[in-house]
Amino acid sequence: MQNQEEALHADTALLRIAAMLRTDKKAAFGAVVIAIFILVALLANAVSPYDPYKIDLANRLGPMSAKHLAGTDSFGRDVLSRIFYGARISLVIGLLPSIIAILIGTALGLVSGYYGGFIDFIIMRLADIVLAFPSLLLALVIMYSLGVSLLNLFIALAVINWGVTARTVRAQTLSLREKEFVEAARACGVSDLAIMFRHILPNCIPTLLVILTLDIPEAILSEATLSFLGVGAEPPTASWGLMVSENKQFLFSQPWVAIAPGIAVLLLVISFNFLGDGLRDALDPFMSE
Amino acid sequence: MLKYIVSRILVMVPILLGIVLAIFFLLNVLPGDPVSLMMKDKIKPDVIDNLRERMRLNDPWYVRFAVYVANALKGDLGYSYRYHREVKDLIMGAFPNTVKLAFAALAISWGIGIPTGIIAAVRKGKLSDSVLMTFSLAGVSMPIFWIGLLMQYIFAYKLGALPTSGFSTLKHLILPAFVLGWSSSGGIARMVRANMLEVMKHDYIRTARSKGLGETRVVFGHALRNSMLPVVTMMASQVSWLLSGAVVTESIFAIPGLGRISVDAITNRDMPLLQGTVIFTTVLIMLSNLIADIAYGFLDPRIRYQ
Repeated sequence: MQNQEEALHADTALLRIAAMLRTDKKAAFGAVVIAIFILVALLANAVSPYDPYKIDLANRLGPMSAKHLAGTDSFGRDVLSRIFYGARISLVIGLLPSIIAILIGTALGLVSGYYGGFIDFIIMRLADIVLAFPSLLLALVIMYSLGVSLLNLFIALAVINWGVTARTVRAQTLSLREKEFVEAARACGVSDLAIMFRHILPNCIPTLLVILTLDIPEAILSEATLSFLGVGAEPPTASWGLMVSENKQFLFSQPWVAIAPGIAVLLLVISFNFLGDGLRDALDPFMSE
Repeated sequence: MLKYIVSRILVMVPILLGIVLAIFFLLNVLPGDPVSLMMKDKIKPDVIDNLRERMRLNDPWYVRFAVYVANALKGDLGYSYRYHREVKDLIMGAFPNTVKLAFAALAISWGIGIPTGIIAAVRKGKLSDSVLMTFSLAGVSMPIFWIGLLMQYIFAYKLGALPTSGFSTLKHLILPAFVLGWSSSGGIARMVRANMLEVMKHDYIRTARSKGLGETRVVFGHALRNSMLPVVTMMASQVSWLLSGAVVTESIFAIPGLGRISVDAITNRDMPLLQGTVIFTTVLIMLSNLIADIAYGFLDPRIRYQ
């Protein structure tokens, strides 16, 4: 019976998301733009007109033209191709560390809420500490400690962002563990682990989905910002933040080269935010059920 | 009330200690021995030993941590590797600039955010609501460094109206404060709008309307006052946002503030300076959280008794 109930929940969630995408124009716009970026990232080597790393000093800071649709940067590299390749880094950095952070937060939140007591106390104080830290500063400290590289940035973002998830999942677990279906499972002798993951976790998934869509744009912005500051991706990587930083000294002579990658960041981030807002509106009444 | 304040402070102390421990661990224990990192094998071993002894590196890490905390409580945050000056003095030199920037940005973000939120809430579902909310979300979605460069290009270069960088006159403050303020106004607007809509559902709003009060009185007299309560708590998270945003803003506009010295400290591998600024900034943020909690307790008596 409970399994049926949970399956129904997941179905209604999907139905509500589908209905939301039909009526909420902003969210639909977001979903389409994200899909396009994902396609571009996957097919970057096919859709890019040039090799994004090929230096052509004869064509430095070239204007927008038929040959180079978005011009060339200070090394003569094709800006459009670099933006296409940059989508890979932004999406990977946006998605993977956020997913890892959510997995960490979910596991900790489940354990914390289900067992309570001392473990709960310790986990929640750890969450307090992570949440009290401004994430940009924590990222700076981690990058100093581990050294500047994309992989370390990846680790930093995954370690920083689990606090909100842990707190939310804990709160939901606290209320769910008192429900009859959990008690019934326990009476049947189902193990704690199975109760947490098979009975409680599925009910948290809509909330986790909303948290994920709100974490992704944060992570994309963090990567862009840290790479801009020189504590993220390293040259010659095609990262949007790094591209802005590499070309900012030519802002007044060839503004487009520094501005264009920022437009890509804005477009991708606002799309995730639109979609996240839509998901929250669609799943919110559902979550309080 | 006193009991409430004391309990808030007691909760804060272990968290703060945990944060300092985390920073200390990341900067002192994890990267390995700073002396061998600095010296490689160019220097005679006895010089290295001497230096290690002076920097107390032969002590176990928990002793060094205890010494660091004890010194920090006395206001001694160590010496900057790069500037050969006390970290405390460097921080105190930079702090007023960041405060100026943060307050100016705060004024701008509230000046834009609150009216935007009110108008959007009152005109919910209309075109102006949608436009204002898209505008606010764009503010949140734009990288600060990018708006900064865009503003420099338009206002400093094209129009020649404002200086590009530096921090000597009030004119220098306008662009950075606007950049930082705008990016955080979006969050305020969304928050004010959501709260207004929540409050507008209540019975007393219907009562006020049915008394025959004009819509302006209803909005400003009844709805706004009650929807500002959660916005007070938002002030605290805004301090955190402003101080993080200041890191980027100060780098772009060459403002000698806390954020700028922390980025410089990373580039120069100046560990004591980075450690000092990060701990100082985190303490500031926690204090502002505390003040917001207390203010909230004053404004809403229900909170105190929970």
